[in-house]
Amino acid sequence: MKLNIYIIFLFLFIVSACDVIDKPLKENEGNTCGDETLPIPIRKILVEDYTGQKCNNCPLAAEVLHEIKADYCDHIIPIAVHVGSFATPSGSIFPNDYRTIAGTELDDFYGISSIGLPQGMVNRMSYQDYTVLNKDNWRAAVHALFQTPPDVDIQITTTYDTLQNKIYADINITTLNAMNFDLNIGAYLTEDSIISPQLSHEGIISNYVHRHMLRAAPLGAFGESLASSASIGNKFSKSITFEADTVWKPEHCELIIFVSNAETGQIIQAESEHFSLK
Amino acid sequence: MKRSLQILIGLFLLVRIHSVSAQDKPNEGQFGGNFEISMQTYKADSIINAPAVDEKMRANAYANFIYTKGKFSFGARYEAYLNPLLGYDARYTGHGIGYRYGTYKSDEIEVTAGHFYEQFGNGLIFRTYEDKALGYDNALDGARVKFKPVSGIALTGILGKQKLYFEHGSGIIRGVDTDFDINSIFSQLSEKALKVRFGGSFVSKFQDASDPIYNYPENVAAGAGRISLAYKGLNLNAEYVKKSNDPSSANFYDFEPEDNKTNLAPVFRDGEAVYLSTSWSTKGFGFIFTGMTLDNMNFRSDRFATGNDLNINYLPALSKNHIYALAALYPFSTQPNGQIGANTELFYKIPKNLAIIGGTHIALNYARITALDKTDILIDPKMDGYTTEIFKLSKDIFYEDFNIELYKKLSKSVKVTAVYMHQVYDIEQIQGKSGEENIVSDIAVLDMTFKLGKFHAIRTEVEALFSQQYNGNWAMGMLEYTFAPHWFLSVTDQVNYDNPHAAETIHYYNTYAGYISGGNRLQVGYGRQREGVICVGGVCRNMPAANGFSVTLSSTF
Repeated sequence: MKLNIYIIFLFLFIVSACDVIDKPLKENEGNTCGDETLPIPIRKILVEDYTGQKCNNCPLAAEVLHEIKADYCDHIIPIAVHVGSFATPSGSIFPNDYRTIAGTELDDFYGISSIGLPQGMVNRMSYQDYTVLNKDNWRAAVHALFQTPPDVDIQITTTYDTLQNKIYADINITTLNAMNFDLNIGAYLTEDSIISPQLSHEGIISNYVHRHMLRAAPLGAFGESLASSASIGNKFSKSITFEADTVWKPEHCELIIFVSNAETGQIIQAESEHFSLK
Repeated sequence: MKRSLQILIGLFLLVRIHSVSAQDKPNEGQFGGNFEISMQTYKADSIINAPAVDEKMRANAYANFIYTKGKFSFGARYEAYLNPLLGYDARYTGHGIGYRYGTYKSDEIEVTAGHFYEQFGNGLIFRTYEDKALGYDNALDGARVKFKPVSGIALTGILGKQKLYFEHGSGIIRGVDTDFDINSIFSQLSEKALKVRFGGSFVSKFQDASDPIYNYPENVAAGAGRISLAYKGLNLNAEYVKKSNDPSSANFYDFEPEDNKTNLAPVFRDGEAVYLSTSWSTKGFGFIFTGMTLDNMNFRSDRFATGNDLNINYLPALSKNHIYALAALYPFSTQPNGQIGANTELFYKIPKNLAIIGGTHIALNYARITALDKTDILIDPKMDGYTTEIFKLSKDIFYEDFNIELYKKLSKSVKVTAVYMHQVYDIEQIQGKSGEENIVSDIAVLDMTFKLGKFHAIRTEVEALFSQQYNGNWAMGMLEYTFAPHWFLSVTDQVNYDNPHAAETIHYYNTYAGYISGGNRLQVGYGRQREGVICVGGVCRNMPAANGFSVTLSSTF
């Protein structure tokens, strides 16, 4: 009798425990492209690609990020952070060091490169139990967030003084929802279209185009304190001035500003702006 | 002779007294366990690309505690990675109870709650286990029931989530296994020379799916059937596994390989594997043949897991697990997305009465593992990716290894082992070293042990690896002195020369000293560790270069 019950249970279990997929691709779910020119602020998501010039899988992740940006448009603020042993310079083939102090701090804090690159984070939020995400999970994590109305609106005015090599930014923040936790504000400078060698599955690509590379974090890796809490309609202002590196190409640089939950590190909203050159 | 007899009688009485006392106190619990700590200092060494670490020293430690009383047993393992040794995943960082369980076991039923390790069949469909050297632990945390309704029939049910360092993977695993021992079920067959056993397994995983592009299956199932036959010295063991569509990060495939652009997407095809192992032995002769072919058999409880994370199944290693350092320099790692291969081993002991060569043990081994022959599907709405026949070999060799090992005891005090090996190793496929061509190498080993009196022994190893590819040639010398039963001392130098990637010859020198007493073992070492991979049973982890002192202390209690 016991055996019969077991066999019945086994049979029910077997016939009910797998999904056969006939149509692997989903129907188009409609327009996902965000438009920042609309009068209503949209959710802007910081997607961080942790990468390295000697990581042969990393160009695939850059491609994934590029495709996500193409599909979700202004909803996405992409950034590539070079970290770990894959990012160290090596002889004459990889002479450049694209690591940054902030990138290394983030890498150490979240334990990213030691898992193996590429890895990423989407607003530094947990998705399906993980904060550090495989590239194949980035799109789903973005998709789960992009329609959520933003809690904060960020406006940036920037100037890149190419004569003095100084960068100026004025930031105005308006809270759109109440938040009962400490808020941080962070700033990253990225440089786009850096041509430099990159290892790939096909070997070394000597003229690889590195996109959205983190170059500096004037407010530190995790930002600075902005407020201990906020109500709807609170306004905050912040001005930043910092030195530019002469290696950077100002026309390729962009300033990313983000507001985060100081306790969890989760990004609440991000914004980016190209520089006005002077 | 008299003293030996006294020791023998003493040991017998000790065991006897212990078992009598256990019978006298059936309700008394028993406590046991073990402990191990491995520490390593790190200093920067630019010649071998070894980094320094901020902590100067790192350590992995664990202690198992097991308490058994009657039909109940409870266990826990405390683990500390402060911080993890280089090469171990950073997600181990921290300390805590990494494993705990409670078990009730009677003749008919066994129930476990908490973590457990289990294997169905050969592991192709389900195996959880741990290996400290690999930093591998995919224990299931949940419940397991083993049920024996009648003699010869065993049923096992499992349910749980997999351990992922100090956390859990997001998927849920359910499974059942049945095992039928025909000779035990039918009493009239119990004395027959032919022993027959068969079984079947079914394992399913569940994970939420919310990808905006792909219809990932939330439930993925696999079923397996197996049979084992034994007749006198002949054994045969075969298993077939089929897995339903399981698109994942591990089986991404280039769907348009001709356009010079990588168009990777997960394949939705089913997976399958066939495993066959036969062996035959008689006095002085033995034969083993193992074959396995598999397609799309990555099976993990999280579809986005990579590396060694959250494997549900285990695909057995086909090639020989070499113990000599240079023979194991390029170890094969099973390729779960598709491989076909076989391994044959012959053992023969030349009769002692033959002059000179009499008493020599000969071991011949040949393994060859290739890719499956795959043909891309041009119009592919089901995203199967390719077609293949599971028994169709391609010309693309992943691994080939021919080796011969001779062992002879030259006298009461001298033993010698000599090995020759020819190996082909696809480092691009196995280790992901882009652009590197297959390594073809010839390896020779001479291992001699000289026993000096009752307690002293010296062992020497001389090894050489010759290759035109990758890191070029290697040589190795080792001298080991043992002062039984407690002390040992070893000095080794692995030399990498004619390396096109290095400006100079690199020495990887190491020295170890150790002390063993009862269940306690202490080893202290200093030297360089070369960058590479280490593999156990076809599962591998990267090992970074390191330079520094190491201390390992282990104890069983």
